[in-house]
Amino acid sequence: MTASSPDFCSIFDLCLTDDFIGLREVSSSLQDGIDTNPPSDVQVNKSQEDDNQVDCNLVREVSDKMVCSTCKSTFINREEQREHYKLDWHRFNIKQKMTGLPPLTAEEFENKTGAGDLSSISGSESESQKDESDSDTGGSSNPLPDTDDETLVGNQRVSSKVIFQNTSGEYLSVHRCVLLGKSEDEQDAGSSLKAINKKTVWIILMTGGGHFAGAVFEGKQVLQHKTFHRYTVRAKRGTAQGLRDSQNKSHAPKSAGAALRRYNEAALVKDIQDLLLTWAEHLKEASAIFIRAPSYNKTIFFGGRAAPLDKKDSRIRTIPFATRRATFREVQRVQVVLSTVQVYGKDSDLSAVFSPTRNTWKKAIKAKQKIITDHEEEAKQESSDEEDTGSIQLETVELTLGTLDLREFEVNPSRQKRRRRKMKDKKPNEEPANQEEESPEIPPANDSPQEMQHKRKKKGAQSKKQPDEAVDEPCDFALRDELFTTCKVGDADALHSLLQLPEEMTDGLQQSQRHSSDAMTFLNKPIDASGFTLLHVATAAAQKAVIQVLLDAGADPACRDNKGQTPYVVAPDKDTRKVFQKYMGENPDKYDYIKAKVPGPLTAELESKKLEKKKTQKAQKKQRDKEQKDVQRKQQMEAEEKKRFASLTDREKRALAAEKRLAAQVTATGINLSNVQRCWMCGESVLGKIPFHYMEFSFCSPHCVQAHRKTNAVKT
Amino acid sequence: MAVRTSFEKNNEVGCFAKLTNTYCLVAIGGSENFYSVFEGELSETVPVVHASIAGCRIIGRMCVANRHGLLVPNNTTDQELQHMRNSLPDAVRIQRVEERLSALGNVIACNDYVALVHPDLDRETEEVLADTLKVEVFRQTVAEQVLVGSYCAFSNQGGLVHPKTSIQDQDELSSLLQVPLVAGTVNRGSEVIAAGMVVNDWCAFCGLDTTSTEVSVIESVFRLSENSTQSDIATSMRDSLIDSMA
Repeated sequence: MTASSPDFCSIFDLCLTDDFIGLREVSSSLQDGIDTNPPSDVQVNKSQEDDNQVDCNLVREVSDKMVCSTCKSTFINREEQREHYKLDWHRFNIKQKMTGLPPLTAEEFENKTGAGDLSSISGSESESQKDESDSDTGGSSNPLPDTDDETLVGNQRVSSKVIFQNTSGEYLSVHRCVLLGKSEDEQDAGSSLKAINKKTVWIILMTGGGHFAGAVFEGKQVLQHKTFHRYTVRAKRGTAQGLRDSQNKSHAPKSAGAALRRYNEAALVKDIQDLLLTWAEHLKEASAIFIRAPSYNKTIFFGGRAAPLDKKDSRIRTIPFATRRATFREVQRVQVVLSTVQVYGKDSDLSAVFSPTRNTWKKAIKAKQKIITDHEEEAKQESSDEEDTGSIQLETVELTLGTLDLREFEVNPSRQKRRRRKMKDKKPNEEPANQEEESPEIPPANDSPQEMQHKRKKKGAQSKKQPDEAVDEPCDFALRDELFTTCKVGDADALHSLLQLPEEMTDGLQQSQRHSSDAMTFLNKPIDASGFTLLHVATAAAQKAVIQVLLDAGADPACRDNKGQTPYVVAPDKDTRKVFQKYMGENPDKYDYIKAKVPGPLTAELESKKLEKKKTQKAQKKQRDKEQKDVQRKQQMEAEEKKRFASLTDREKRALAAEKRLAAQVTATGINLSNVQRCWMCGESVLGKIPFHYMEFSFCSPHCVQAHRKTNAVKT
Repeated sequence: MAVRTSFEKNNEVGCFAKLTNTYCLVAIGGSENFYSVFEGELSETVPVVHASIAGCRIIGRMCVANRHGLLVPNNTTDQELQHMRNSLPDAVRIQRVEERLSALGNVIACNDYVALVHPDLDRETEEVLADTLKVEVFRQTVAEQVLVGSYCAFSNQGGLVHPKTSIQDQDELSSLLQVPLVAGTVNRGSEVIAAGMVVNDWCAFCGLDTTSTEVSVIESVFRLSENSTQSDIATSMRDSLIDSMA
């Protein structure tokens, strides 16, 4: 900013300070057509045009002015000039010029196309333009989806942020993945935060949709970066070719495009692996490697014999927020987002940090607005620090600053802060670990620092345990066990007694009566860790009788386990599923079968119909087989006869013929004989055909005639 | 030497002929007049070949050529390609290109070393161009016109560009192409330079309408009258002058 503002000034100054009248004089003396240039150029033009007028009739020499007027750039040598005309920047500017728009400078162009990687041009420019508008706010808004997940689903997921509090009561939130790997335990957070400094090397690798972008950062500086793009995603239809192929192996498309994409996928993998090979040094020294790869792309990094990265490496982390197309620009954004520490004033409600409301949105934007430059920011932070130390400050301070800056300034004189940090390290776990995040409970800025580790995990576990807690009493435990075993083993009678079903109420024991109400409560409650109900257990064990009993007793087949599967879905075989269908047929209104995913009722009538159908099918098949056998037998007989006839000598054949003639005579008398009208050579039947004759022989084909003649010739 | 000619009363000779330093393509016309003008000028030095491209006579606008090679659009028939292959010198490489802008002559202007091309030309075509014609390729416009092949004509000696090309642009182009350039017209003021004339290193043909001023500009910028410079006149006419004086 500071460098460019004088430039602007100078242009304005020129307009203001220069002699206006003088300028006009100059422009009027020149042809009007040409002088669209800034005033500084005019004089140069003038002198040149004078020259031109002088040698207007002479042949002009080859100009040595190496300029590109389109891009407003000059070159020192021919090489530079040549290179320029090959650039996309130049091409883009020509197009701008043709549409009457002002040309872009090289920097503007790079920004526009996403840090100069060519792949972005080939992609879509609209996307990158959109980038520009919202990438700024994106930094602070992006954690939202994650927090969203947590509060809604209530799974055992940990917050993506780690929160620290310093003595002045301000809260600092940092992305958890920046500090900790998956396996590291949480006490390390503080120390690993301290370990990050200007020389920390991070590597960010992103893939997706045929794009790859990777960069090595040392502190804020980019040491190396590289982007690739290959055409791998099926146009319009979406999904990468490899994914499509793996979905349906037998029908992998054979089109040219598919082949192209397959090749490109392989090439992309190779490109990336080659690149990572050249980055081996950086990979070794990196303190964290952030990876964003769709699951099927993970093999690029972790798959293969010579995998560039080890899956179990503690330095490998995933990026905990949504990212856009893998470009260098996006990688930079990710780096910035990851490296920012958000500072919340001591009075700010921390629940807002985690709840996915608009509240945070607004706050984030406000915070953004406050960011000016690094210097100013630092100054501001310092001043706020001073205020903190000096007196009580109740105002909410929201700032966003890079970790690196923060580190820097911890090294700086602020001694107090360092002390705080130390104290924190001494007793990081003094406070009860699972402190709730609601701010009212947080003791306001006292001297003892407390680590606001966010124990969502614990909380999640608690909520999960709730059904279990209900059965904590020993007798309930026993009952539960009993129920489980009966379901598992398939002891329907025992189950009957346990559940105290109405029919058996009469002979029920007192004990079991007491239980019965409890037992009924278990029916539709998850009974084990995977969220199975009794019905699930029985179904999974294929205990049909028990299923029947349970359904009668009122176990809802629409209950789902943790995976969202209903009992019907967990059934291992067809017969078990039939139990449900039959039950549905018998009691069509008892449960919500659609929710239970039971496809349709199965009544005795339907069943018998099915059976009948099967029977007829079987009969038909039998018939077909029989016919086929018949035909085969006939063919075999024919072949045998053929063979026999062919093996006869001519004499015998002649004899046969005579016999036939005889038979013909006999037929007149009414007796039938088998076929003797056959080819003399191969024995093929010549009945109904016009045979080939020579001498007294007859044949089916000229071929046979020839063969027969040859053999006869040999004989004679 | 610049020769005026016309193709069946049409002055746009650049449309119907393609002239390079090693061969000349001429459209197949109703009469042989056009052909014989070229034949008469060139037959001693280079082959003059009848050709058509995609059944069209406007071969000059359809193809791009220099002494190293010839690029034709992909709608050229095999027969035509075969004919050209048979008639042209073996050293000339002929290549068919898949290019959306199929009037290659309108979008590419080249000499034996450099080529100016339309900013939208395919990258593949650019590569083929560089390989086949052995030229350096520059994407640039001439006088804000993207049809660089139509609005300028240049040989290895010099070039004529669209009359409204600014001095800056001329300078830029000249330094890019490494040949001297002049803004001018042909065919009595036509700004479509390449349609009105064809030129190689020693010979030019322009439309019948071209004025003598235009011809003189052409001859001077393409250095076609090198052997009739002032000094030359002095030597060749001296005898007669002195003769008469004597």
